[in-house]
Amino acid sequence: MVFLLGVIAIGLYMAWNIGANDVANAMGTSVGSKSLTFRQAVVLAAIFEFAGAVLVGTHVSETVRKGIVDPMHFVDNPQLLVVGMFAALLASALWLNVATFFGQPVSTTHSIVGSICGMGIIAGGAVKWHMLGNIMASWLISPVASGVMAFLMFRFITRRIFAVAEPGRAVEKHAPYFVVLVAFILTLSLIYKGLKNLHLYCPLHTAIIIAVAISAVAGGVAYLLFKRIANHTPKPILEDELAYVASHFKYLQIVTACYVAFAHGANDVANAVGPVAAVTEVYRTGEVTMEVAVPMWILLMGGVGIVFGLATFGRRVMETIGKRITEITPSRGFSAEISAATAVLVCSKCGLPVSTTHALVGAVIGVGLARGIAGLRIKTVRQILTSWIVTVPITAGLTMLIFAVAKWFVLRG
Amino acid sequence: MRLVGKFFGASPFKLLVEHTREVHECVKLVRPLTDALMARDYDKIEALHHEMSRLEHEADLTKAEIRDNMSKMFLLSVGRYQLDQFLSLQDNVADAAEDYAVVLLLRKTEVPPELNEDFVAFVSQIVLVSEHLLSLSEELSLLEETAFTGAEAKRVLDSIDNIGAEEWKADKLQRKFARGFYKMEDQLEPITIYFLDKYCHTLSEIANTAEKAAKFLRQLIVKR
Repeated sequence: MVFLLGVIAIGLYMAWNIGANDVANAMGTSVGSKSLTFRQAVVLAAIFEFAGAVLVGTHVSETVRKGIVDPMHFVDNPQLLVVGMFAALLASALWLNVATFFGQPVSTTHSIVGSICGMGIIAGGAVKWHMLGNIMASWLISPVASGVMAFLMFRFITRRIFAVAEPGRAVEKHAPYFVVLVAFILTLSLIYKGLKNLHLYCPLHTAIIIAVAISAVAGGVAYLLFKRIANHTPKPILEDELAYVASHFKYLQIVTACYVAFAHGANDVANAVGPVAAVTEVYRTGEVTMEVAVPMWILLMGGVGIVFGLATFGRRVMETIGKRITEITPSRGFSAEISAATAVLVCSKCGLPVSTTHALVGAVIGVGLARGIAGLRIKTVRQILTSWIVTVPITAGLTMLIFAVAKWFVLRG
Repeated sequence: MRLVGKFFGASPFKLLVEHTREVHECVKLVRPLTDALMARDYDKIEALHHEMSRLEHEADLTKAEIRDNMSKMFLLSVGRYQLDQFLSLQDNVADAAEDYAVVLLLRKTEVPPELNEDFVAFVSQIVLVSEHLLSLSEELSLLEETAFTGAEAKRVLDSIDNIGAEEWKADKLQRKFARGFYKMEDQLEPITIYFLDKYCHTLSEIANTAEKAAKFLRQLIVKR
């Protein structure tokens, strides 16, 4: 019983942590460039993180619950699964705190996957190595894919908007289409093989048609909204022209910030609630099952935790980001965010837990290769790479340690 | 992961413009130095040289700061070698200006009054070339925003070609001035001719180096 409460508590804590730290990455650019107030950012992030978590979060949560470690291994001894998940969550939370305390970048996704791996190993070889291999491959592929898309997107923006004679007119023309793109991918991800909890089923061609329709509507709305800020007379001074282009991209960046929040909610909520789902299942039925999908209330709980974390702690993080944000102009931010969000969302649909932040890093590098940014700090990139390599072994080891200690307590008592 | 704040490096272009401005301040002193020479105000030349040294030192500090920042970054939007060369050459422009001040300081040379006009025209043109370089440098931040493409990039590249033309004009004016004092060679002391020649040389060096710097600016824009 103690362990159940412990798991729920730490799960909530993880969700809070995710909300406080990670979400600021998505919303920070918009708050920093003053296109959104902090309050607006929190509301938008809340809506989209929540939506992502609840509507698309099942796929990755399933993987974390039963895709890395085989629950059937614990059929004869469900208590062990509970203790194991507790150890995994605790190890992850500890590692998150330690790394953040030392100012090092850390990925919640890598932490929890490493932890669960450790649990599987110490509980006697229950790790599904094949799945783990897929996950680790996705950790490599998702930043790369994100980078390629960002490179192409920014190249497109450079060639079709910045390089033409009248960038202002070009951005007016293209802006609604960017919104269409985001809406299309979002809608498709929602409808196709989605909404399991709402028991909707949709074959691919129908899903595409619906997505096209909805994104066309979104594009139309965007077009009208943009027209309200349209004020275009070709400006002789290039700075003014570029400022006009930037203002359009600031609004587009709000759209992509929400998009990133959605994708992030879909992928990262699992880091907090996947283990919780495994454990509550045991307590509910007294046994381990493979069949039931992650229950809605658990996803809701995760969503609430994330939003709560953002509302309470996110302000400070966003303010810090806002001060340092001058180096990434809206067009770059847009390219990076739309690519990262797409990569993460696609991985979420495939049930692959990936790091949203690494996808963003990959995207920024893609933009950099297209000459979009002045430069990246070597030191920070080195820290990220180190964290990438080090997180899984450390969390796995920590989990094994905690598990051994907890098991000793259980056996003793 | 509180990534976004620590990830990006500061753009080198702001500091680069700063450096160009400081170098141009050095070059601008060439005109008052020449006026002082022609007015035979040798105390003023000393004072101006002092000022020139100070400005050149400031430029050096900025250069060091830029190099320091650059060493901490990767994936720059411009070629690292080209940026470094541009910086070096700009530094040489300031050095050349200081050389001129030093030469003026060495000896109380008297410039023949008949040549004043030609001399002033020559010096003014040198300063113009440096002004040109400064205006180019100031365009760099805009270019950064457009990722070095578009009409602006084309305009700047054409402008770089113009510096070549301005430098050529400077050469012509130098030749006119030189022919002037060689025509008078029987009336002038050899040592005077020697120093007039030194003035030509150091002044030309300013414009030549400025033009070379502009060429690297072209590389900065075109390549990554």
